[in-house]
Amino acid sequence: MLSSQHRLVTQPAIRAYEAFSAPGFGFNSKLLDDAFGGSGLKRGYISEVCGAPGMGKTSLALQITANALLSGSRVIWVETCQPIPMERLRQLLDNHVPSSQDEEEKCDTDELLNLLDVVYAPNLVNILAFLRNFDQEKHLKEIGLLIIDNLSMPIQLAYPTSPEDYAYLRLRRNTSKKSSLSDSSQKENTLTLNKENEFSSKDDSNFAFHNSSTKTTINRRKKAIGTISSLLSKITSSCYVAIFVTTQMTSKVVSGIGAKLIPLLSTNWLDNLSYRLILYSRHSTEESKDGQSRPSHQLLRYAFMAKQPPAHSAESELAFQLTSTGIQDYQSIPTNSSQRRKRSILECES
Amino acid sequence: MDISNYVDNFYFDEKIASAFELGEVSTVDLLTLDITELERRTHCSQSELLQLIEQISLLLQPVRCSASKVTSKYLTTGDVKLDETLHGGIPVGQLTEICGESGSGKSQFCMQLCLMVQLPLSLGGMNKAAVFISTESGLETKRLFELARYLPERYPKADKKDIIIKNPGDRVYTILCPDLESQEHIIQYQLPILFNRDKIGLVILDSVASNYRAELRYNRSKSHFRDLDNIAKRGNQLGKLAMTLRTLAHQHEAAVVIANQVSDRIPRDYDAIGLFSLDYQSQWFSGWDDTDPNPKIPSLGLVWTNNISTRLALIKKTDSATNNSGRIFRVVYSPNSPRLDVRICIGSVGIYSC
Repeated sequence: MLSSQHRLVTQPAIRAYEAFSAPGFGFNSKLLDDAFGGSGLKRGYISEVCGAPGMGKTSLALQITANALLSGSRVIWVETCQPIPMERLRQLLDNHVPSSQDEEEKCDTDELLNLLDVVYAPNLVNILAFLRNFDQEKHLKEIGLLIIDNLSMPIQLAYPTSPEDYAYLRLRRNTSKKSSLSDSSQKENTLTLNKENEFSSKDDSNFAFHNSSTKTTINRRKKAIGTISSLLSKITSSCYVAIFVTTQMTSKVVSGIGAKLIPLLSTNWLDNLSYRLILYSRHSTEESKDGQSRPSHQLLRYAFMAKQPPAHSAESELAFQLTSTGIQDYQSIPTNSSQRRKRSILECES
Repeated sequence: MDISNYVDNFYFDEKIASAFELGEVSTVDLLTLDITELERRTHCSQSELLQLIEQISLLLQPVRCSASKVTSKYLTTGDVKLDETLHGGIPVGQLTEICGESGSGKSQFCMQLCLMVQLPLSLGGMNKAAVFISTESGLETKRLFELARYLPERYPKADKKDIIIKNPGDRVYTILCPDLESQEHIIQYQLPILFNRDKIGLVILDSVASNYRAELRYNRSKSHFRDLDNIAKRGNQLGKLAMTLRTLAHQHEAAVVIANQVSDRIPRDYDAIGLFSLDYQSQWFSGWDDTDPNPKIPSLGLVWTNNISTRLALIKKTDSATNNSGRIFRVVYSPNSPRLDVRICIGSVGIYSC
C-alpha cells in the first residue's frame, strides 16, 4: 500500500498558468493588495499574518474569505481555538452581493456559503491528519483558498515551552558567546557575562543530566513545524491553492528594554513561507492639521512585510482601518522612524 | 502512545503499542517523522507502519461542515445595548474574559449571567444551568436571589412565567476551589462529569488569577532564571486550562466567562523601549491605555491573553471636573465586534447601560 506521501502528483502546466495569472483574493485595501503582489493573496503561495490579540488577524482572514467566495472559489476554513465569526462573514457577503431585490440577496449569501467548508481541528494531530489527506478533497480543483485560523496555538499546546528548554537555550547561547568573546573590543561585556556564566553554571550541572532529552523536545517541535510547512508547500504547489495562516505572538525578554513581542513560529517555519505580514498598533504621529476627522487610533492598524519574495518590495508601513463593515484603506505613512523600527524588529527576530 | 487522548477505544496491537512506547513515538511523531526514522525507532515493518498511519490519519480527520449550516449563538447579557455592542451577547463555544479592579462589578456581571442562562430562548437565554467556580469567597447567594427577584423589572413586557425564577439557586452549581491543585482537578475531571449530567450553558470562573498569583509568584524587576521557569510552568498550566474549557464550550455549546483581576499599569518611556515592546503594544489589548485615568493591566500576561477570544473590561472613571464617577463597559477585543465603550450603571437589578 502506498501512502499519499509517496504518490506522484502531476498537474497539467496549463492549470498552473491559469492559477498564477488569475487575480488574487483581495483585502479591500490597495496597500495590502499591492504588498501581496498587486491583486491580493495569490494562489500557489503560503502567507502568514502574525499579531497580538485584537490586531485584526481574523478580520483579514474573513475579508479574503469573503472576496474568494464572491469570486466563485471554494474555501476551506480550519478553526483551531475559536469558531469562525459567521455573523461577520455573512455581513461582509451581504454588503457585496449585488442588491437587486432584497429577497434574492439572502439567498445569494447562502449560496456563496455553500462554497465554504468549516473544519474544526483543535489538536495538532487533527491538522496534520487533515493536511496529509488534502489531495483527497472532494472538490479539489475548485478550492482556491485554505485558511488556518491560528496555527500557533495547537503547536504551542503540543509542545509547551518547558523550563528545561530555557536552560538548554541558555547554555547554547553562553557557549556561542564565549567563542565570540575572543574579540578584545568586547572587553566591557566580559565582566557581566562572567557573572552570568557563574550564575548559570550552578543549574547547568544538574541540567546536563537532562540535556539529551530536552534537546529532542525542541527538535521535535521543530520537526513538527517543518512537516506542516512542507505539507502546506506541497498543497500550494500541487493544487494551486492560496494558503493564509494566522499565528500569534509571544514575548521575549531583551535586557535593558524588557519584554518584546516576537512571532511564535520562527526558524524553519519561514523556509516555505512566501509572505509574512506582522500587525501592530501605534499612536498616530501626525497632528490633524486641517481639522479633518481622523479615525481613532483604536481602529487603525499597521502592518509590515517581514518576509516577501525577492522581487517584491512593499511599503515599509501599511496602514488600514478595522471597521464593522470590514477592512478599509488608510493612507500609508512611510517615515524614517518607522523604517528604523522595522529594522529593529527584524534584528530581534533572528 | 498518546492516541487515546484523541480517539476513544482505539484498538492498538499490544506488540506495536509497546514498541511505540519503547521508541518514544507519539501520535504527532507518527504523522511527522520519516518512515525510515519510524522503522528505526519502533522496529516495526514499513508496511505495518504505513497501514497504521493510514488508519490513524483517517480516525483523526477533523470534524467539518458546510458554512451555510454554521450559526453563531450568543447568551444575552440582559441589556439590549450591551448585547448590541457585542453583536448578540456573550459568544457561545469560546472563552470570554471580564476584567476589572475589585468593586468594578465583575462578580455582579457573572451572577447576572447565571440567571440569564436560565431564561427561555425567546428572551435570549439558553434554558440551561450554570456552573459557578469560585476561587475566593464563593458565590454570594444572597445577591443572586436579589437579582432574580428584580428580573421582572428588567423585562417588564415579558410573560411572568418566563422570568420568575422561584429557586434561582437550583440551576446554579457552585464549586469552591481554594488552591491550584483543587482548581485543576475540578476543571479537568469534575466539570466534564457535570456537563454530562445536566444541561449546562454557562461556566463562570471567578477569578482565574488568584490561585496562580498565590502559588507561582514571580518578580518582574529582577529577571531570575527561576522566575523564568515559573513563568513557563504557569504558561503551560494556563494553556492546558484554557484548552479544557474551550473543548467543553465547543462540545456542549456553552459560554465560558472568566473573571480576571488587574494590577496597576506603569506608563513607560516608549521611545526608549520601542514600538514592539510588550508594554507599548499591550495598550491595545490589555483594556486600558495611558489616556485612561489610573490605567490597569489584567493579570496572567500574554500567554493567557492569547488564549481568550473576547476580552471585556469594566472601568471606573472619575471625572475630576464634576467629581462624577462613571462606569464603562469596554469591549477590548472580540472576533465579533470592534472596540467600543458603553456607559453602565449598577443597581439592584444588576448591570445595565445608561
